[in-house]
Amino acid sequence: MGLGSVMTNALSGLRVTQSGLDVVSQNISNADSAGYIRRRSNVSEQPIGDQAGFARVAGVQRMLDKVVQKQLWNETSGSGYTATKANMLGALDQVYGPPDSSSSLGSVMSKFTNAIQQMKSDPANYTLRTGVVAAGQEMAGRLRSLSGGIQDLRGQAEEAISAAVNDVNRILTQIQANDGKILDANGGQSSSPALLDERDKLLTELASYMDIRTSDNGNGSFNIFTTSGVTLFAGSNATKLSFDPAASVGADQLYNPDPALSGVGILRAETGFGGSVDLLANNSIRSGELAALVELRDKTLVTAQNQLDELAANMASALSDREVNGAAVVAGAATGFDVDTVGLLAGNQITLDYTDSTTGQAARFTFVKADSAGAVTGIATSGLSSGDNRVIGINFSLGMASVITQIQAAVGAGFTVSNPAGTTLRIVDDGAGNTRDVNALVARPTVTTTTGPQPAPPAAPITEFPFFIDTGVSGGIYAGSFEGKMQMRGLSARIDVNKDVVSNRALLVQYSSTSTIPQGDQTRPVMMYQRLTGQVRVFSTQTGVGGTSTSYRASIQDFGKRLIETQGSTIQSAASLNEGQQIALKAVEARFTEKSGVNIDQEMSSLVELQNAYSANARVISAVREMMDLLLRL
Amino acid sequence: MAMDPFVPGYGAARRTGATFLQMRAQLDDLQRQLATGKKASSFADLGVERRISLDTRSKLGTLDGWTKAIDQGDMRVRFMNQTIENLARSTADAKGDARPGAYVQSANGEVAGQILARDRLSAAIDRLNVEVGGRYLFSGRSHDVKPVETFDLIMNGDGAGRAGVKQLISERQQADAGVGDLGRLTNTVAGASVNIAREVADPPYGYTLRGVTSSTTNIGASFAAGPPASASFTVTANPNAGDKITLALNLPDGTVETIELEARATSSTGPAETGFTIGATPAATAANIGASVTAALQKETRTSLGAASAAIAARDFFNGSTTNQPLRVPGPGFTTTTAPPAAGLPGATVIWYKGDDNAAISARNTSTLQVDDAQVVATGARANEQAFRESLVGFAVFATASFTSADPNSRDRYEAVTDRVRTTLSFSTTQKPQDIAIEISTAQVAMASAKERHKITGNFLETARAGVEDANQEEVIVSLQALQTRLQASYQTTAILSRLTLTSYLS
Repeated sequence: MGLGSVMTNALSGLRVTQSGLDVVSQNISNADSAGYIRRRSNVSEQPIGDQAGFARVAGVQRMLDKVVQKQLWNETSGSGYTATKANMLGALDQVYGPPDSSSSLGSVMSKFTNAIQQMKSDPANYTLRTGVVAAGQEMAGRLRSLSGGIQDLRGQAEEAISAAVNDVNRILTQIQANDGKILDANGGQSSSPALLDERDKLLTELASYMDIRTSDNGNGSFNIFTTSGVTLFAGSNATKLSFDPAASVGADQLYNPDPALSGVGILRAETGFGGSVDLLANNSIRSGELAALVELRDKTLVTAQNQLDELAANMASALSDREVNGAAVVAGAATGFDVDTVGLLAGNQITLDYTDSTTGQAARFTFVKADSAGAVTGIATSGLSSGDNRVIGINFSLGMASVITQIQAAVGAGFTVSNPAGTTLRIVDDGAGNTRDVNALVARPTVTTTTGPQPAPPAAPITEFPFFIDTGVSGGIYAGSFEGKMQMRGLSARIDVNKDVVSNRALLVQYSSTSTIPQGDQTRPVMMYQRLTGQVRVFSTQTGVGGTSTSYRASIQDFGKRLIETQGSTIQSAASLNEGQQIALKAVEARFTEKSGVNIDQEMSSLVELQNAYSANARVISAVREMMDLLLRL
Repeated sequence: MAMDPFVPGYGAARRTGATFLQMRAQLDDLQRQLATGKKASSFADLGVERRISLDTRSKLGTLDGWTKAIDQGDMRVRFMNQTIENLARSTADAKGDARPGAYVQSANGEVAGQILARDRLSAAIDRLNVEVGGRYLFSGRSHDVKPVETFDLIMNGDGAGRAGVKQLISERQQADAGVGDLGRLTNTVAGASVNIAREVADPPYGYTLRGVTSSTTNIGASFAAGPPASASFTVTANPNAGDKITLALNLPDGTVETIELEARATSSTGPAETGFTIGATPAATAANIGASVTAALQKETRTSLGAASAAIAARDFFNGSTTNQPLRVPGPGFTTTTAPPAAGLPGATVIWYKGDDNAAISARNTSTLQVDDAQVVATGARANEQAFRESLVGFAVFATASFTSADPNSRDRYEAVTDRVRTTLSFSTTQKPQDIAIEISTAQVAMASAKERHKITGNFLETARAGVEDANQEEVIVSLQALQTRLQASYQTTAILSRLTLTSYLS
């Protein structure tokens, strides 16, 4: 032990404090840098032999809690998901309009039924007839603009997915570059805090797009996976995501795993061997902004569109479809109905209401007329079918004998289907077996003309007419066809009031082509009012109104109300979910901040401490120097 | 939308910032509530109560629709009631004018009562043509069709083929009167017998013989029902003065007339239609009876049969509609026609009622009004309902008759005509205008009570809706103040805390 070693110690103290000051200054200057983790200079003693040694900087430590960091990524993904959803649905909320607005869907529907109610009591009144046409046009216009709004949002989602994919690719490329530097700099042994900060910052950014997890390979390199297990970064190779956005998005452009059939972009991960994985088909992205965008594009907004289409289709059909009730027949102990299938258009329905006598449950079969095998498949995959209302396509192009076979196969045991004559369909129950009771058999052919020949009294007149038309097909008749594609899909974007009715308002009253109906005749207006407000219709479960297994049965007016209510509730729950998620994120951020954030007060006290240490060490050096001087002066 | 990058060093400040933003947003929302008076600006913001909002709004809209329809219907019904009331009063007045024994000769052949009847007919036509907001109220379902033709056309036809009521009356009168005004009877004297019989062809016009009586055994009265029916008086010995024979007749309108002839002594004289002179021989007496029967039949024909014919023809005329051509006497050659009245050719007769005439729909049901969920009231009416038709028949029969001072039968014709007018306008066996008024009033009452009901329900629903949608101003102001205080306190505290850093105290 001598003055020399004291000098060395003091010098090492100076070095250590300088290094500490360096870290403090880094902390202070980077206090507001994104992703900057507070650093601390670790000082340790360097023993010399078995003697006490001088101080040295053992390393600069990043004050990071890996568990909290994982939670942070998790919550970041979550809030990326909820915020995106809440944001987009907030825009949808604006589309539906405020409750007291005269242009909101509810108000417009109310206006339309009221206009018919007014005209019903004074059908010859030109002003009231005009009121019905105007309210009908407003209704159709509102449906079109709502549908347009929804498809705009889907288009925005499509663009946002594309932008997000580009960003994800950029982040992955940067991570790859950064990872290379980390390996180069330290041979994978001890990484530079700046590079690690950069990597973590990129990972946090990535987490906002999708749910990720990482695994460290130990040599400085690491892997990134989605939580579902798709590799995004392995060793030093970044996976490239690809997305081919559709130029424009419409109601009938839906996602399909088959690229040839998909109307919207497919998100893929290139595996690096020329192959690729469809991330959507396997539901590989479960959280983050990307998951939210995909869900909006392919589920939430599609459901919203389905609801509008269902509303539009029912409004059109309610006014244009006849209800031909089957005639009761008795065959031995079996009872049932005969109904004529003549005049049914492709897409028109025959409904069979029955009771399962063993359970007492009432249910319905809906047979949809198809003219091709393709349409039968289309009906099977349309999602219109539900437990209590099985929707089955029946190919009528093969003749009545085949129709009977198809229906018999569809309804199964308990029913006997036959063709007594011509185009008549007979369905009877199992009589003595008493497992099924047939309650009604109704054919619903669409009336395609505004005025038509009338049956001789006392048969009820045919007053139905195509008040609403589908502007997307020639002739404009909406029959719910599945030939080529599902006519209902996107109908709300194409619906309009029949031009003939607009130009000749007398058609709101005049229903006969064979005789003159007095201008004040109420038959047709009463039919219109009853169909829109009184008639109970069956709405498919794909609208999300009512249950998921039981179809919603109500009047069109009620369905309209429930539709707005369902949307309101979806939007509200997205918003409140987001609120909760933001709170969770803030909580994790707070914990993270506590450990890893730069606290200026803390840094300042370190600074004071370092200043003191520095001056103490300097004092020691000065004392040694004085002592040396004293020695030399002897 | 990319998220804000996370800066660990700014975590605390970010939290504070977020809190401020949140409070600011709350402040903005409260401000909006204060300005708009609404709790929420969208159905999503309304929360679970959006169902109440939607349901009450929809129900309120429906109530509004019903109430509007009631208001419009009420105006129409008021007009209808007034019209019917006027018409009823008019028929009562006409009936009063047609009182018996009130005949006063006038130079131009028109009595005061019938001039009034003509005015009443004209007024009734105008009333039945009442129009409210471009809608004819008495036209059934044909709201755009003026239901009743003009007075002149109805009375006189168009002069170009289409006959009016006057022509129909004239034709029927001719057909009933037959040749020689004997009312389609023949009257022959053969020896001491007077034979009265229906024409051989037995046409459905004129008198129907009901029977004959004689108060003396000197004149035998016999009757054969036929057809054609016939009766005879056989003078076996001369009757004594004061003996009577009667001839009972049915008129086509169902009324009954009895001709009574009194035997008069040779010395006494009197009108032929009331008696006959006893001749020197039974054959001479029979000849006198024959002449007297002819005179009596002619007088009857020119008075009561003519009135009966007018009533029938007018009724036929007013029974006509576009789907149901009025019955016409086949002719010309009306006095000899034997075919029964048949529906005329289209275009041959004025169709006075042009409105909707579907027999399958009752007049009231031609216009129904939904006043509530399940309540539908019937408020339609047609100008050709029976009560209106009968009123017009009564007016027309009176108005078209002629009572010239030169005609000795005028007084008796007046009595015969006014008798028919009174019978028609007393509506004893037919629908009365009041019956229609009662039905319409019932609808009116139902409408008024439904409206009252809707008002009460509406108030209740409005309260429910307001409770869900409307912001309570006091509550909003209090919240606003509390929030303001909190925000100010937070700002101040944050400002103080931001100065409280070690940096400030190091020198």
